[in-house]
Amino acid sequence: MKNIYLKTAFLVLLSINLYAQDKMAIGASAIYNFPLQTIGAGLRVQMPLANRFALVPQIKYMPVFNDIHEAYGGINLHYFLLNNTFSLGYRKAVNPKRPVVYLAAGVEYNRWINYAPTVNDKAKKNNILPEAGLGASWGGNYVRIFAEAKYNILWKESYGEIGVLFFPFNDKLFRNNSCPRP
Amino acid sequence: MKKINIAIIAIVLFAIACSKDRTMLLGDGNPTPEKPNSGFAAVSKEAFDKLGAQPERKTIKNQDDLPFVGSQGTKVWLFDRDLRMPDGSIVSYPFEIELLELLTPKDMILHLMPTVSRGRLLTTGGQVNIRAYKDGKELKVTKFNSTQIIVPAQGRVDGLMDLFYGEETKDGIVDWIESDTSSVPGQKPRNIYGNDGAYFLFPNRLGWINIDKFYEFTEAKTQIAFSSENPPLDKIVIFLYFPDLKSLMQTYGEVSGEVPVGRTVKIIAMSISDDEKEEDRVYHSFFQDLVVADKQKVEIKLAPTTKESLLSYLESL
Repeated sequence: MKNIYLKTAFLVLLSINLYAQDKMAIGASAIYNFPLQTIGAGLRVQMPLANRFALVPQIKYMPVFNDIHEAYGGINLHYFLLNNTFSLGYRKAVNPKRPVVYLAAGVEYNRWINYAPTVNDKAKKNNILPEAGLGASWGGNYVRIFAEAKYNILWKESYGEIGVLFFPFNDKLFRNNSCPRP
Repeated sequence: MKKINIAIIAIVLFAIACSKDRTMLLGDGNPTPEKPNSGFAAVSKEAFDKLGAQPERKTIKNQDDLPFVGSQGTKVWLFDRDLRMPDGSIVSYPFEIELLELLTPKDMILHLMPTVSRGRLLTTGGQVNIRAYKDGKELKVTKFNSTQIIVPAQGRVDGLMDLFYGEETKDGIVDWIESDTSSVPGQKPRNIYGNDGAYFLFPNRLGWINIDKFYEFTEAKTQIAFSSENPPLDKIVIFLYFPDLKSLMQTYGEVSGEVPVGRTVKIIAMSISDDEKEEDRVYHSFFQDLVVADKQKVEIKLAPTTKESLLSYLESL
């Protein structure tokens, strides 16, 4: 049984090398919770999983100057509706300047630091929160801007996030990452 | 392109489908289980409201019956052309207008109507509750209408006042929501202005309406912790009145919402015995003036009082 897990993990890692032209990215963002009118900051890592999928572990912090002081940590799965990757024969190639639009869904742990009971009886000091949303990113080979709108399904709260993604491991040879000439 | 459009629509829906419940504090949350022999009635909207201003009704037979003038000077113009039945059908005269004016701290306290919006203190210029009825059914007002309400200012007119609508939560608490919050900042249509000792309101809905502005904290914030040996806190109405700010906060448990450190506050606590006959009921009160300190604690010690003394104190606020 253990062998099967190891083999599966190996295949997943192999698939990353085979299909993902965009390499791992790290990002930072500013966050605004629309109903609570709180602001915060986030950090994330975007790990390509397959041609149209990426796993995105992330942390967020809404500082003490907000009415609600809280921190989040979780993981999202991104599914690219509009992708910057295309087939080039049996290989995959990427046009980094092409915008990416994706669906995001995930789960987060929330720690409400200055918790006080409210009319939202589902909100406690420690919470597990499902969320879903939409996002887009655009820019260059190494640096891209991203924007997301997400909905916290349990608390019915929406928030927006805008930030920068850095792709330090993308191929330096631009021709390897670019579209073929028309 | 179709996918992009879907994405934009979804983002807009996300932004408007929001819950603000986490900003509505309940103090310590779940109410303490009732003690059958505590001798005090549970806090309810009906406990004290008979002592304050009462709703007034008038049948409007035609336009000549307008405005409806309340006993405290509020004037209401509400026309049949702007009203709709619950099913959306048009309304013709006659119909009834009901008006409740809460223009003083006394009346707001007696009706348990604090001036707090999503946990934030509001400076108030007065509250009114306006409803219209026809054939026993409550009417709605159309979004674009010619309704006008003139509320006499309590003191000097404040040009920064805004219009807030009351939204009742499932616990019966009315939270104040700023009108037209979806508008683009700076382009917000004015639906209130003050002039000549009064506020002129042009609401796009009926119900609870409040003339307010947010109190912008310049001081440090803190929460006041309350305790009471007898009766338990869930049997006591607790209000914090900030006379300098003209702001009222109600506390629903052991801890208040956020309040400014260094400000003068009047603590008003009231309770009523649970005797069945109204004439047998005994009023209890506790008043304390203090300057808010960081992590302020207040022990409530209720003492028996009379209805007249209680009202006299509230009148002096």
